[in-house]
Amino acid sequence: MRHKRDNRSRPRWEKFKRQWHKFASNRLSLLGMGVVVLLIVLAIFAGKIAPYPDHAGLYLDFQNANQPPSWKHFAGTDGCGRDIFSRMLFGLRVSLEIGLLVLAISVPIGVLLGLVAGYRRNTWLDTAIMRFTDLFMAVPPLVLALVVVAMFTPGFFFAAIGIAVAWWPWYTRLTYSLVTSLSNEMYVRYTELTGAPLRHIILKEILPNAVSPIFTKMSLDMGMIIIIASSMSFVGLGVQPPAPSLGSMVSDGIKYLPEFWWISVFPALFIVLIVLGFNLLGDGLRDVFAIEEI
Amino acid sequence: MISTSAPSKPILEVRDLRKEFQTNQGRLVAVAGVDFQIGESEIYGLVGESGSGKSTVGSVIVGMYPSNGGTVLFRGQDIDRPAAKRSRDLKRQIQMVFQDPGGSLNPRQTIRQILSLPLRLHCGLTGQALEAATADTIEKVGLSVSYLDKYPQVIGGGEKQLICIARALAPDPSFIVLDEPTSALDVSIQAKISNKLLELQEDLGLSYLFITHNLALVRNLTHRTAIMYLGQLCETATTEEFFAHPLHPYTQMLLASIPVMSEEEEAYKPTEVKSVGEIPNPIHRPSGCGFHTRCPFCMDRCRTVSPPVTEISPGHQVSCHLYGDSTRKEEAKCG
Amino acid sequence: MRDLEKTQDTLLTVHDLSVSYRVYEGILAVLQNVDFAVDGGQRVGLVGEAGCGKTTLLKTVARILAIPPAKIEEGKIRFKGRDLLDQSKVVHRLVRRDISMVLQDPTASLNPTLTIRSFMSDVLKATPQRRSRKERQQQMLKALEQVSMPSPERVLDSYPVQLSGGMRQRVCIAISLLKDADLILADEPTTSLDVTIEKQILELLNTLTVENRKSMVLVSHALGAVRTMTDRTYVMYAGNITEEGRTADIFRAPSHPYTVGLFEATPKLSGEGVSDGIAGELPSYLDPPAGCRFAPRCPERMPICDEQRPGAIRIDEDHTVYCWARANETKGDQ
Repeated sequence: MRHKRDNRSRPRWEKFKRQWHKFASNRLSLLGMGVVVLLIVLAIFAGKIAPYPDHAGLYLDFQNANQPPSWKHFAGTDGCGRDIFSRMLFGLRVSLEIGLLVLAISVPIGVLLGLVAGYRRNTWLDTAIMRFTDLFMAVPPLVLALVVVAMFTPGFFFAAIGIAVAWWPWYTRLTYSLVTSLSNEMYVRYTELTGAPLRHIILKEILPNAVSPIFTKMSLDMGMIIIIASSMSFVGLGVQPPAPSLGSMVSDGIKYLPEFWWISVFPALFIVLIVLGFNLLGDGLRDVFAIEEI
Repeated sequence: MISTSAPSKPILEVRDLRKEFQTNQGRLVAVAGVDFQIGESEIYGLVGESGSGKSTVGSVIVGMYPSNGGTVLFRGQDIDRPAAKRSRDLKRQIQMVFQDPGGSLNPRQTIRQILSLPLRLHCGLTGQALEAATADTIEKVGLSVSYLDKYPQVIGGGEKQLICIARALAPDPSFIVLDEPTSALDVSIQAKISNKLLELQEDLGLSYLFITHNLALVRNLTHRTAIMYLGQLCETATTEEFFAHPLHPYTQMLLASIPVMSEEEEAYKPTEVKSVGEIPNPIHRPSGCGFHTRCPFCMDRCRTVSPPVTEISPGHQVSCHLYGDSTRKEEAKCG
Repeated sequence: MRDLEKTQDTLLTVHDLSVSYRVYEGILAVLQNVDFAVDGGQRVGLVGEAGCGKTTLLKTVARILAIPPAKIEEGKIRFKGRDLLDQSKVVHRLVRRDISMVLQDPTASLNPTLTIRSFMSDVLKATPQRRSRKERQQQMLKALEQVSMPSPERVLDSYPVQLSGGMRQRVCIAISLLKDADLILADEPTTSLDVTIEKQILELLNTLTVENRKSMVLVSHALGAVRTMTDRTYVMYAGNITEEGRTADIFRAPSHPYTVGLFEATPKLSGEGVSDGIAGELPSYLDPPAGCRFAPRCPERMPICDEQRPGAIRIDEDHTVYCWARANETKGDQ
């Protein structure tokens, strides 16, 4: 029995090894993956790693305000005397959480709609879903998110909802085009002709072949979502103070430029690093999945 | 060698089948009235070049789309409707093998998963019984069970096609439509696959509709042969008779064009009709007989009137004005 | 085996060519010490199944092989007395001018966004002769007429998508004529065409090469086409030449077990039934057999076959086979 189980996971493992090799042959992809892994670790253990964890909440120490970067405060302190480095780590956690929440909401909805519309092409269902999608795509994502947030109360949760509302249509579009091209594949046609139930065709035949581009897009999207979330906090409609958010840290620091440059610059650079990491990872994934079908 | 026993009660009857498609250039008549029958345990070869409509005939039979006219009877039952509207049992009975083995297998599934689908679906097998049946199925086509846990990408073309055949056999069908099953494969692999197909047909008493453009293959593989041009049947006969006395000018042209391996084989080819011209655009079908634009024996009647079907000898039918009336029948010696 | 120093007539000589590819899993040692030659005005067939290396050989001669991942391990190629592997401009121009390829898929060979006229005039403009527009037009029409193209004027103004497969292939052949290339490399030129059109295209190629004294290499896995169209034939298996000689001799009395197996596997109009094919499968190029690459599948396998690569055994005046089992057969023993 045991022997059989090994035999079965063997081909999957071989496939994974091959993909990993392709992925790892590109230095930039490895860099991206390394950065993302590092960020995830930092975010999870922010409480342990941050030298001044309580600075992430309500804290005032005007004695220590606006201190330049030093060994005591790696990124200096801000107008309230809070350690910027510690706040950045917690801000990172918030950014990643928003990104994950947005994807967790928008991807299943978007993909499901795309699957249904794509498989039932040229029916009223297809038209209804896709025109509905077009409607949402017509509004710029940031604007749409801001409108949603403004309808409720600004904060982490509704910021995520707002972005998710703007985000799902892109997944519907992507899935739709994937499904329509996959439906023409002979193996899908065969399962239709032999009478496999709809559930099987969509979940077992089509979806596994559509997953790679969707996955790649998710990674590339993380960066974009974090930027939008940061933009929203920048204008005050995202995560509310005193909770740290990279965007609001940047906006708070603007009035101190250029003398106390570190207050804006470090969080901004950090945003760049996060986005870069996810983009490199996403590009690497796309390359791996693209050549795979030989 | 294929024996040419007369077919018993037909498993498949096609009468006046028509199929059209709407394209942006106009109405494309792919199949323009086709009649034939396939007997139980018979291998029927349907030959034609591109644009002949042979694949469309196969597609209608397996239920890819309904026809636009005519009847298709499977064991007496009308099956002219898309697969989605067919009974589960019918879908089990009629199976198919396609041309491109690479595209016919889902790259994300192992062979085991691919083969278990029809077994689960049509035979309701699960657990141990399913595993046993899957192993059995793959061994039936001569591949070892070690193939079961592989992905299609690591398997060669010939073996992929054997798996497609195994998949078609799994639910224990009675009738298999094979659309150019070996055209994408090399000669030596083609031979192996053809052999296996013959063996299975004999062992299991299956009927095949073998669609191809390869006449030499048909000569060695089928009981009966039919040839199509621009959506119409030109000639049908038992395979031996078909090759011994090809009557229709298109049949002769096709046979004369085949490159062969030896001088002795050349002797089997008719020499009177040379290959000229090209198949016209099916959207603008020539009037009368579809072949008249390339036919060296073209008469005035051919341009205007569609030729009737004439039975020259038992089982040998031609659709050509040369054989249209009884006086011409005596001149029907060719090849 | 042919001498590198040949008579005036030899157009192309490939000597001891070995080509490999680098892939993820390692190195694919595809071509192995291949000897190949084409004389002026001669039609040579190259027969083999998928993956035997025939396309690699053609690409190397036409110098369109992608290096890397390919690598020419060893060997020489001489074309019109010059070293073809030389990277100089002179040789480059020689290749572009005197070698032309007709490929399997005519659709892929023609740019879908250009009319046939644009495409053909581009080719003409690339030749060293200066021509006026009228002269170019005349030449294009002449080339199209030579390939029996119906309504050549209309074809010139068409896009490839408006032409049928057979017509597209005729255009490709016409372009070879425009170049007035001395060597035409035809890689499965009719495989994607219908049988009746195939016959016409093959006859066309035949006439043109014979009439214009051009040389042609016809690569095909369709044995029948090679038989009627070539003067000499090479049979390839897994990157080796296994048999070569006069086409008539090879088809009349195939010698190498692979050739014999291939001939038997081809279905015949005489209706003898289906053969069993050839047992086994192509060896892996990553780890090819040390001796004869066909040995694992050979019905006449002997111990020496696994150890050493077979040398050339001359069976007849122009019929050589590379097989240990034939080592005792020479002219007179048959």
